[in-house]
Amino acid sequence: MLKQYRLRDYNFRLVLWVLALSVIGILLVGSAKASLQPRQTIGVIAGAVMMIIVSMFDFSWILNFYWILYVLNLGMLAAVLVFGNSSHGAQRWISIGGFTFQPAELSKIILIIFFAQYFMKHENDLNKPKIFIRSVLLIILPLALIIAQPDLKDTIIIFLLFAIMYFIAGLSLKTIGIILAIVIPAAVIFLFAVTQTDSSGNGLLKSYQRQRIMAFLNPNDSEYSDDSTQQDNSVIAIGSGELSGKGLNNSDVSSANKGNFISEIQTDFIFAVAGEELGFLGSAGIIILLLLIALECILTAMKAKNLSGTLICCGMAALISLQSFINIGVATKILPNTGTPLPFVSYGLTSLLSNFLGIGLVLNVSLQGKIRVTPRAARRKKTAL
Amino acid sequence: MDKRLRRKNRFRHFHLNRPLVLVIFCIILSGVLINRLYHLQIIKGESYRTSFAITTTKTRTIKSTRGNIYDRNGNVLASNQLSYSLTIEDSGTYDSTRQQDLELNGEAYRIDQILQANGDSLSNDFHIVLDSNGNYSFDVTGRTLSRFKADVYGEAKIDDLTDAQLNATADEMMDFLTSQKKFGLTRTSKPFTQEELDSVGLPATLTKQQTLDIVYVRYELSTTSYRKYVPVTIATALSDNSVAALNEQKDNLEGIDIVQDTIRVYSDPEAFASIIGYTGKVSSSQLSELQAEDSSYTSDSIVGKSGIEKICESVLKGSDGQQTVYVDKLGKVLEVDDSKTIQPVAGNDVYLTIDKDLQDATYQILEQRIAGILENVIIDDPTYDPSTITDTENIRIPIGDVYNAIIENSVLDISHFASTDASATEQKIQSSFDTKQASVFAAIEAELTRNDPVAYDKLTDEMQEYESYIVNDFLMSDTGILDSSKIDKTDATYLAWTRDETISLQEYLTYAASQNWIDVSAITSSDSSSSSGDTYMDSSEIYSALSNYIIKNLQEDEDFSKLLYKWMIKNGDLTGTEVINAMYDQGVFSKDDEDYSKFESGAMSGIDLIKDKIDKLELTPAQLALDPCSGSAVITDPNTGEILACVSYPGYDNNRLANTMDVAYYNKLAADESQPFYNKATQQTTAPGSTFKLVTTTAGLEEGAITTSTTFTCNGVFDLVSPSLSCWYKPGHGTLNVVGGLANSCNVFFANVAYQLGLNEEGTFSDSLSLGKLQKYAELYNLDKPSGIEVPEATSKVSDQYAIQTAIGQGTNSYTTTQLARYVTTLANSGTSYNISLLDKATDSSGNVVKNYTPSVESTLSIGSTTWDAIHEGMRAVIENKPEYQDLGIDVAGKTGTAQESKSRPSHALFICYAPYENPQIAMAVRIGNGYTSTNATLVAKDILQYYFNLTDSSNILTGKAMTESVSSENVD
Repeated sequence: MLKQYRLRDYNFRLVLWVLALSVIGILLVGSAKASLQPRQTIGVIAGAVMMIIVSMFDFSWILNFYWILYVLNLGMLAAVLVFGNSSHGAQRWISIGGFTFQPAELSKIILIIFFAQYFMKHENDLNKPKIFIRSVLLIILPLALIIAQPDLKDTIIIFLLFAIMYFIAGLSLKTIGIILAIVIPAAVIFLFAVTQTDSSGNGLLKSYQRQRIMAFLNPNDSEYSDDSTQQDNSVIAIGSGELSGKGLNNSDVSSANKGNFISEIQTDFIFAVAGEELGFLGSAGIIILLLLIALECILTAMKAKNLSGTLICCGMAALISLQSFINIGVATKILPNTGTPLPFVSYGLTSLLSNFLGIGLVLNVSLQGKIRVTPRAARRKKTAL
Repeated sequence: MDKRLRRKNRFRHFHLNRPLVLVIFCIILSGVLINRLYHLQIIKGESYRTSFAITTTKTRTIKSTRGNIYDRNGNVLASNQLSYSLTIEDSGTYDSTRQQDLELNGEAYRIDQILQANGDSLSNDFHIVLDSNGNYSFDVTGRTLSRFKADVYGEAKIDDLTDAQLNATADEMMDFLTSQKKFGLTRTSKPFTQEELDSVGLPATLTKQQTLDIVYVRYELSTTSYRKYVPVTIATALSDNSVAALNEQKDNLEGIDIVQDTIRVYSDPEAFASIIGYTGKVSSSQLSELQAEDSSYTSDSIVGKSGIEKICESVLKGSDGQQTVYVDKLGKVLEVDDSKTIQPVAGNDVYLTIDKDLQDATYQILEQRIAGILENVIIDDPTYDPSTITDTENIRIPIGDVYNAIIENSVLDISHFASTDASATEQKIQSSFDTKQASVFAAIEAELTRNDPVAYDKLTDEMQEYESYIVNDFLMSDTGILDSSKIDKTDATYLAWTRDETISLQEYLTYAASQNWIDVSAITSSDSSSSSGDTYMDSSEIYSALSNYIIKNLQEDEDFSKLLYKWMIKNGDLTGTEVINAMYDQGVFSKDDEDYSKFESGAMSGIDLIKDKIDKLELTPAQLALDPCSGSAVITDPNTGEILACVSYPGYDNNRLANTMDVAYYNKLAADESQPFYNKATQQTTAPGSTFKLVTTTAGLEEGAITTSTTFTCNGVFDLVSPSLSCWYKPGHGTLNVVGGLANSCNVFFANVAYQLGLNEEGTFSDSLSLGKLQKYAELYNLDKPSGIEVPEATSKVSDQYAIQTAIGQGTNSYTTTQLARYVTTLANSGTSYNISLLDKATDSSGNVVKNYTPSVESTLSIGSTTWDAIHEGMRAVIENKPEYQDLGIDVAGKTGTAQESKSRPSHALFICYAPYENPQIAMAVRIGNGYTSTNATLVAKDILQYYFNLTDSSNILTGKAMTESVSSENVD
């Protein structure tokens, strides 16, 4: 469970990137809502400590409990539906001892762990229909519970995470080709049908059907009642930051942040604060830090001792990239408004701790990866046995 | 391992480094984002920064204070009082119109509740109100109403309205305004759920008043065309309680603000309203005019609506300051940017040439004297028959006419008779009225439908009056149903109705229907809203629709009801005692006086009571609007041309019209038969009567037609031309020279002067020659021009017919009191014709003079000194003949005038004078419309002179009671 590691194997670069980003996060949260800064600081410290602790644990030992974790995850997601707090028309939170906790965030890490192990176990029969179908079923179960909250964006993120991990694990191009051949035309037809139907009902779909689909795509939570206004304001705020921004914690009252033009700015729209106060230099810096973290994870993946290590690292890389892309995409209005936290930056303890947990795992993979063990080498070793 | 498989595996793994694919994927995602940021922040950064500034900063107006108006001695006439107003702006963002309606309506309701709870109400410059029966009705009519409808229906011009819109009733407009097309109080599709209503605090059902209040707030908001951050004022002069309550609720009432404001306060309103005017919210037409000169006016601006307030708008108006503030998403101010604040500049103060005390005294004197005349001519003589009166000096007011006037001029509120809290007397009057109404309507209906209708000339006087009312007032001037422009005035049937009076109403209207003189759309559209105007109707159908319309709508016609009351009084169905008791019950008179008990015990008769109330000015001439009920006086300084007083009686309380207009009061004034809005000094023109004789004198002397020693003999009639002209003094004045002619105001003397002026070379009289010379001298005195007074003035008319009549101030001469004032000013100073002026100076708020107004000289008359001497001597002689001017303590010169313009109404009383004789300090013109005789005007002038020159203690003059001493109805000139 605990192994003897060499300090020089510790991936300090990754730790540095993560901590740098977290500190920026603390500053931005403080600028957005000063009252939340202490909690965010505590969250980052706790997360960092947890990351270091987790990095000491042999990930392979943790992976042994993958079925237990899987079942725990289902239980947790089910518990949200039963006991969770309903807020803004969705049931996504559980209160534990005064803390609200968002299971879907932790769920992502657990599912990374689970599929890392699961795919490794089935490394050789990944492309068999039986395993394919089982894998799909295994992901559909938690997805069903998450979409029931309802939480469409996390459903999509987790599904993409699953797809990326399956791909990394070695899903054959043929299978991918078949899947794409079915999914892409279906999606195109579907989207065509939805968008080509005008509200008067001429088209493939009846207007009420279209409305339902559109309503489903844009859940009419009061949380997002002024969706596009919020996004427009965010874009204006970011744009107004220009090259170097208005300065962190600027006392200028004329800011989107101070003017409360964007609600929930400390979480889903934290990037608006970054764009406005740090300008292009600062916000592009954040994107680069996020990319560096993802790349560091993938680099670790390439050096992992086995497939599960690779999958954990690639899973984390994918998770951070996807969440970042969605968050910043929403804040800059290239994606429709849907709230998802920016890893290590947004206020929100569940997300913060989950991400630190994931990085902790990656660090451990890195610690054990002195010998370059590619999936191919691992497989060769296995065949040799 | 199978070689092929291994090769395949190698191929797969070698060529596809899957983590590398992920690396590329991550880099692409980051690249997309950085590219987007580059676009937003670098390429378009600057424009975003600008638009960001627009959303977060707004400029607010800091209202400037309007300048004060002072009299010549620095007494305040119009000033500002600090008050608080409630403004609202629509700063919310909404998903849908439905949500916007819900939230704004809810907010309007909550604001209204807070105001009501604290004894305040919303401003009511909306023209739909609740009438006494609790129904929606309009509080304006005519053009104002059409303009209002155009505003509501969103049309720029009244002409753009459809007929249905133009004829829309108040109910129909409210239906439109509450519909989901407009403000969505009621929704046909997707009605608001109870939870939704609860969430904004709206009850399930609203009273009409609440509905009206919500619609008003929404309408006011809509006038800014929903531009964000443009606040509109919805309540003014808030109580402290309202201010506190609203401040407390401010976080829940998005977009409201309590702003410091000022309300305009006028001192001595009645005496000054006619010249000062009042302020009010700018009308849309006025706004475009004002904006053309000054773009800072907005639809919320308070501007001068009439009088000096309007004329000196640009002087009085300050320039509003500006404040840049940063707001949050809800429009809540976060910070004020002091560096960008522009402080408001208060408007300049205007000083008038008016002497406040003199103006006040003159107003009181006019009322006292007019009341005195009125009191004198009220009689209780059942045998009095106005048709037998040949000389207007014998016109009297029977007490029944006074009772009728009390109803006709709404001293009594007849609608209150039917209300639930009506007194016993009121109920009794109402029941007599109901009986009367039923019988009259039965008779009218019979006349309209029976087979053998009675010709007009065979009807009783009473029925004749009803039928005339139906045709002339109801169908023509009020509703326009009988379209006068379509009527062929030479048509035999038309003449039979109007001139010969030989046909019945039924015959006339049937014929009118067959001739398409009837506007069918008017009678059908308000009859049933379903029928569209273009359904074809034959003439019998039109006639029956018309007669139904008459029967149905005449019952609601207040003027017709008043006509019924008139005949009830005439026929004894309504007694004076009942009228007086109703006046006590309605609080017109206080029961706490000795008169009441005397009257109730029978010790005091109705006429005595009425006369006593007039004497105490508890019942004023203005209230009764009988003859005389009005008067005017204009006093100037003849040495400067400055106006010291310009009074029109009756006045009104402009405090109730300024700020938040009291619409009920406005309507009462507008309908008042004494016409308080009609400025008797500047708008009313009458013949000048004998005051014109000084023009004739000037013409005669200057043209050489007479000399100061020329004499003519008056034997009571001038018969050199036909028709002959009688002197007012029937026995004749004997032989007079010009001074004697003036002193006695001898018509025959001045007729002779005019005759001499008209003698041509052949020695024959030419009317036009004489007239031309008279006109020349009238024009020399600038009687053909505006007097110069700054408030609007009616155009004068120099007589252009009948030289002989013209010479004595009749003919078609017609002047305002102000024009006569300029004339007497010129006479007093012997030839300097000023453009008389009300304005003295304008100063900035620190008292520095920014503009001095000095009356300009229109012309200087080149008239010989002998002529001037004759004029002054003559005018002095006029006064020396006046017993009431004896022992006055000051030498006065003047000229009387009694101008007859109607055989059925008393003559107008006029008087012009100046004093002191040797060194004139004031000049004045006084006129009492239908004031019987010039003597009454001279009495007014005497009181004014006594007051102005402190000739007696002012308490002897300003008694607060009718002045009957010396008043006369005797026709003396």
